[in-house]
Amino acid sequence: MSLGLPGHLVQLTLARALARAAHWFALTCLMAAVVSVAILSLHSPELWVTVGVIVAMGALLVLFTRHRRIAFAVAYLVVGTLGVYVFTTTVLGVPDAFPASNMFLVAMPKMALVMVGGAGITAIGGVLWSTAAFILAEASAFLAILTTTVPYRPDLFTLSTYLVLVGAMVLAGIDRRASNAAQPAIHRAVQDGANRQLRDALDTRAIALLNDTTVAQLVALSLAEPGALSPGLTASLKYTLTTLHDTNWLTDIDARTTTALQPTDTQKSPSDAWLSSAVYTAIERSRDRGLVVEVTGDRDALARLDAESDRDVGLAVQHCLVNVILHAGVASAEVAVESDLSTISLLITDAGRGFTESESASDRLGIRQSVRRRIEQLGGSVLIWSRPGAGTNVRLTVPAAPIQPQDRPNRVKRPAA
Amino acid sequence: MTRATPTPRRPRAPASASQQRLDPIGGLAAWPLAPVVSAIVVTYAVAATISRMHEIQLIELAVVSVGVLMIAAAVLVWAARPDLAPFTRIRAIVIVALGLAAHLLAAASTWQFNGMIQDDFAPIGLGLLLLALAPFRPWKEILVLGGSSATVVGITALVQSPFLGVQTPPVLFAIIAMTQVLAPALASAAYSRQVVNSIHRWQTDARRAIRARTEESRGPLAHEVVDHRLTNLGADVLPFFADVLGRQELTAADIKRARSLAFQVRRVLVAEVDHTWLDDLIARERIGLTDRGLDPLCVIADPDRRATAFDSDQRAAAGAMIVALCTLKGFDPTSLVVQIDGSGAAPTDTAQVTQAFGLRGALPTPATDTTTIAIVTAAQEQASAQARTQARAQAQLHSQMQPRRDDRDVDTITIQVVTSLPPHQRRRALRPYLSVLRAVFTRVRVTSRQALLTLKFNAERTTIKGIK
Repeated sequence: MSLGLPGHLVQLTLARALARAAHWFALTCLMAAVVSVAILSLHSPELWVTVGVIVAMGALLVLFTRHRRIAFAVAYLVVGTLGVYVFTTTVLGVPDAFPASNMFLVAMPKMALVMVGGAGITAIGGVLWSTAAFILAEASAFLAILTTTVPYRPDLFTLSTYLVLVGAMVLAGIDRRASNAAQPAIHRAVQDGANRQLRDALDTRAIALLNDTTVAQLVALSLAEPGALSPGLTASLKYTLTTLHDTNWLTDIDARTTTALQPTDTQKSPSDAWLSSAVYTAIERSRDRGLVVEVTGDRDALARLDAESDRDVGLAVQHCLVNVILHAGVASAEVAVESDLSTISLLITDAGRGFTESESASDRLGIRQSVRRRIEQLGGSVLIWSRPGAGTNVRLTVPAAPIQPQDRPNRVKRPAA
Repeated sequence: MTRATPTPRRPRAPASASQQRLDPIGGLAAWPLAPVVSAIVVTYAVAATISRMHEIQLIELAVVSVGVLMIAAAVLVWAARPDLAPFTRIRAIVIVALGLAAHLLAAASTWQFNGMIQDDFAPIGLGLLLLALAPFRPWKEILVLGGSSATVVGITALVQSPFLGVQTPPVLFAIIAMTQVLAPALASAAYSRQVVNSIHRWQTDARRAIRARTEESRGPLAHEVVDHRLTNLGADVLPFFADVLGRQELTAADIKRARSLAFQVRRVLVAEVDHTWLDDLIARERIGLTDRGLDPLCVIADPDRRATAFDSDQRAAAGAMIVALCTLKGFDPTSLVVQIDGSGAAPTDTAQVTQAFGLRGALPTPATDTTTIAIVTAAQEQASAQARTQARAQAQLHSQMQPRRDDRDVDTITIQVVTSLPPHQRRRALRPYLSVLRAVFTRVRVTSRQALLTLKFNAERTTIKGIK
């Protein structure tokens, strides 16, 4: 991930995270204090009152963490100051238990109180809250110690906790000043990347469509005999010109795809689905051009393709069959439809002259753009086997809607047209 | 009474996410935490050891203990260094393991003579080390490390309790020692969780906004693409079609011209298909440099079009770095070279034809657009049927023998520029971009020889071989 926090969110985010950390630190201290005094109170029953005080502190802390209201912070500070006094007096009042006042156990509620500093939205606010809490806690503890017989020793635990918290808040407050320029640059790069990706997708589709229309039309003209234009050529020239002159052809395809994406095809009966599929249309077109196409396999499985997949698979199959007509040197091909639970495969086979990768290098646009990229954009894959003199097999595999229980495979062999 | 539409649940941040991973630039800012914490840990360990000399029975063990804790602190400083990002799990485990070792050695050095558990430096040191992991590691991991460390520390305290100078129930010592580890560890985990969630939430919203903004430009972009394509075709092809259609007749010259146009259009389309995002990016930078009155020469060497395999984060990170380099003060506009090579196969986007069967050395059969359909004799038809059956069988066998499997390929990207900026200023300017590169690429290396700056980084991609 490269999209980091923008400058205006940094301080708030870090302040919240520090607050959360401070509250968990405080809760841990309070929980440890409660468990400790509960154990001690088994021998000294007067300590039970401290359990109540610490639980009250904990409850206020939880309320404050949940609602983040100043009133709860103030209440926590007041109850905490009283709690520290009661806790220190009671715990240090246990006879012959503690040699001095600087016990970690005694410091626990004080450290929890100092952690109120996490309430500050800004670094300075946090430092002020913590300082107030530290002064109140130390003053309260000092007064409490005076009422006991235990000698006073400075409490370094609370002091160091206070310093670490203040240090962390200041660090969070002053950070990133040097890196502010880079974050917008990264954000811009991500936006640029998204725009470029969309442009590439549109370009890919545009090039595939141009290859299918313009280049195919030019090739058809170059293969025709001189003389009057045949009705087929006239119709296809008109179609090409109409398509290209309509400047919305790229977005029209989108619009058609969007409307066609409605799940109407699931209502169709399987044979209707086959006859209305783009693959069928592609095969019929090739048959019109004189190619003998044998269709085998589970043709009805094509009903499981959505409108977009159907259109693109149809165009890819058409391209493969046009390649057979143009390059294979044979008059027949076979299209086999296979399906499993989640995919549909079409195997387009011819026994023509085949080709090698090197020879196709200069002529690879069709395979790349009109077949491979189209299928890959659907999340499918293309595998080609070919060798000079031994034919070509192209397997197109695309994801399809999961098979329904009533979709029984209906293997029909269709004779050559 | 109407019920409000429930707001969709936001996707959760991945379990392995840390502040450094999600927001590398923010992680960069958190780096000073490591040396500060290390300094506190080491100072406290030394001071506590000196002040408790009367309790230490084996001075050698005490010295080794402080030494091991120093190593742990040093490893923390090393591991958190921005140029060695990301901070890995192994590094965190090593740091905590060293801290625990220091704790056990310290306990052994004062065995039977430890006056008070709360004065031990190791639990607090361990807690602080765990606290310093907050910006670098995921919260669950910190929690596990904190929990296991607290358990060890608690058991050690229980074992020592019969010899301690304070007369309280033994479990109290365990609680105190464990709190010294657990409080900072839980604080650390809470920080990590909160900050990761906040960043993830922002990223989700930002990506949604980027998607929406991109979708808004779909219409104009589509028009632009269509206009561009039609401009290319408009000059020759469309008038030619219209002319032929108007005449309703095809001459030999028309056929020749159709052939030549088909070749030209196809060549243009092939060239444009070969463009990658990197070509576009460099082209734009070239224009920017020209606009600034410079004479740029930017070279891209990506013959296998490996740039196409980069994901959107990698594209953004590499793109931002290239843009930053081009706008550096003292950048030599003739010096930018971007090269991508790799150990694995090229991305499948490039046409790959599988030679599944037969002789590799077979001569290619020329195939051109003008190939006419051959007259197929009966004998040829029979032979072709046999070949077709064989081809299908071979194809099926091939697909069965090559099942899908995941494999990891590594592409190496090298960027070279010459800049007259002094090295320290250069480092400072590029540091945030490098931190982002380190988050999305592996093995980022920066070398500089005089004015020549070389960046090298690896992109790992998982390819699915088989039916592809």
